[in-house]
Amino acid sequence: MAEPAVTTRPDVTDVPPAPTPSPRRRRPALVRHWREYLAISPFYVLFTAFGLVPLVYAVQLSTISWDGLSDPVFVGLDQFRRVLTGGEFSVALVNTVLIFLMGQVPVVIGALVAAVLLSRPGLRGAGIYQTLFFLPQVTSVVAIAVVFQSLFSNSYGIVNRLLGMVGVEPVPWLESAWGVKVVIALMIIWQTTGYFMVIFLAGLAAIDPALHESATLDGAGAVRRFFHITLPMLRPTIIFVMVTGTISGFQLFTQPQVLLNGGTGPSDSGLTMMFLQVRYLGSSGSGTQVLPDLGYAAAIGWAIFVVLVVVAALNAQILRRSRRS
Amino acid sequence: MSVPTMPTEHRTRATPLPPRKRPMTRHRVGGYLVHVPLLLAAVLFAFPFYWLVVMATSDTAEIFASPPRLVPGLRFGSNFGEVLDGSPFLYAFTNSVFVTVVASALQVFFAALAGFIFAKYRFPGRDQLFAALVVTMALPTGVAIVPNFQIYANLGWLNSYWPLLVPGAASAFGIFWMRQAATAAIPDELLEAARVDGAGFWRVFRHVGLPGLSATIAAFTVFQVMWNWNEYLWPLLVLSDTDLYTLPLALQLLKGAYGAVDYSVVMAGTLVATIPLVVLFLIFRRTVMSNASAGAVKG
Repeated sequence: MAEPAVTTRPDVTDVPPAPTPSPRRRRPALVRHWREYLAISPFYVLFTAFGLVPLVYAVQLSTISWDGLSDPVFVGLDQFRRVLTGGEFSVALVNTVLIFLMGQVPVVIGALVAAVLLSRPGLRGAGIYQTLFFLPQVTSVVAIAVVFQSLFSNSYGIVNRLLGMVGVEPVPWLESAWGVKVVIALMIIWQTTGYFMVIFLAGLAAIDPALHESATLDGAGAVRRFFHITLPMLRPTIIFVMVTGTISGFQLFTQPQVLLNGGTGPSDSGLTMMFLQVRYLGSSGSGTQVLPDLGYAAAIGWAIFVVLVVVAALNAQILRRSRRS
Repeated sequence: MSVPTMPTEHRTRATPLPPRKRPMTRHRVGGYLVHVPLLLAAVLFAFPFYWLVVMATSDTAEIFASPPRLVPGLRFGSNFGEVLDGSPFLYAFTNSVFVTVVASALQVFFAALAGFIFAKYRFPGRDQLFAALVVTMALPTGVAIVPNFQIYANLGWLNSYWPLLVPGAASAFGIFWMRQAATAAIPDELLEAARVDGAGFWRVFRHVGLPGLSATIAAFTVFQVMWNWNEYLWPLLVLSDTDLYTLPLALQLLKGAYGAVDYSVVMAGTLVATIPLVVLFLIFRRTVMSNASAGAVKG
């Protein structure tokens, strides 16, 4: 690594002008720029090995039935048929969508309201509020699940005891199908609202204050200005939040898995798509005993991939339509 | 891909604007009322943290007393003692520190290097390679866990930290972010000057690239540390030896052993596992929050 100026521009500096440039002189790009290619190569190598190859490998795996130990059996397209008609995947899909809606909609609305309130000029303690709302983001889902499990436990949970003080019968939060979904949604709300609030704050800071000023002079109140200036101007941020929220929301696994102690909850109400895949992987984390079937799990993985791509396409469609209007 | 860049664009576009001077008179009226919903939300958001502290410092009888006791107690020492007895907690803490430091260091190094190269060097295929990288950010390849698990098994990586360190070592998002930062923060003249002084490829990166990217490196590091520290799915799938467990797994183990018997013990462990990141976040609060909108792509 001695002469950098020479190595970066060999054909300019160190080669004396020759009457007939031989093809050998201009070395191939890969040789001339080997340092650059080497420096950026880790991403491409790792993405191929652990991103693309697994997708292809999953296709092969999904044509077999295999518990991981005995000889795999070739079953053709049966695993995909099982995904589509077996009922389990649709249960998991519906659970995922329901929990996503119950969690994500309040998150977006709450984060937006908090950001609007916190962006008022001269608000005292804005930094403290922001820090407090963001703090759950840095705690691990396992820690959150431990705390929420105790908050919502049946007889000794503080939530039920507080409800009892005002005369409400204890709610079996973690033992009813809806209760489980509500608690998971609350965990998501508590953990991610502050994160999206910060993104909305960045979006709000980009809105030209002159717009608000002229609207105020025209007699528009705070509510009208919110719906006619703030919301339309925030559209790119809102779409961004929805895209990132759906991609992570549809991969929900840790919250139900930890909250339900590795089980899937009453009538499988906490069984999400990723959870279903892990369950058939037959690993220690899968809790409830099912016969492991790596082929079926691989087919489930592909189904999740397709669902996510469809959701992303829908998001793009919404984005395009809202741009036109 | 316009989507990932959006908030960043917004911020840069916002900077040249004059400081806001909205008419203050209208706001004064409701000035104090704003604090009502904010304080209410603050109490709700702080309560789980507070409850964690209360339970970690009480014993079971105090928690189950009626009416419930809502102030921290004095039992943290004995609770945490049981944590140490009942689970490989100290191992797990050390393991988590090790995995987090190594994984984050690799991610930051590869992201800064590749981002700097993409921003400041010209070579055939550069723009196509970068476009491909951006496209991969929209592909949810992480959902195919079975084939990844099989690949790790074939490589002999099960029950080791390799699956937690290697596959995610070069983050597309990190490279994307570093490239943006390098384009904006490092002038070409600085590179030229370094080259004229005889600096080689590596020294240019060390003495021009790294210093120019330091703010972004700090923010990205905090994000990756947060992420690696709390990672759950892959440690759960690949680690079977409890001595190799990271903190989230050790907490699960603790919950299994004590959950029905003594929740205060579980809470004491949870509290200790949570504190390092809370402290880290409070130290780097400004850096993290001002860069959180860029960090959103991580998802």
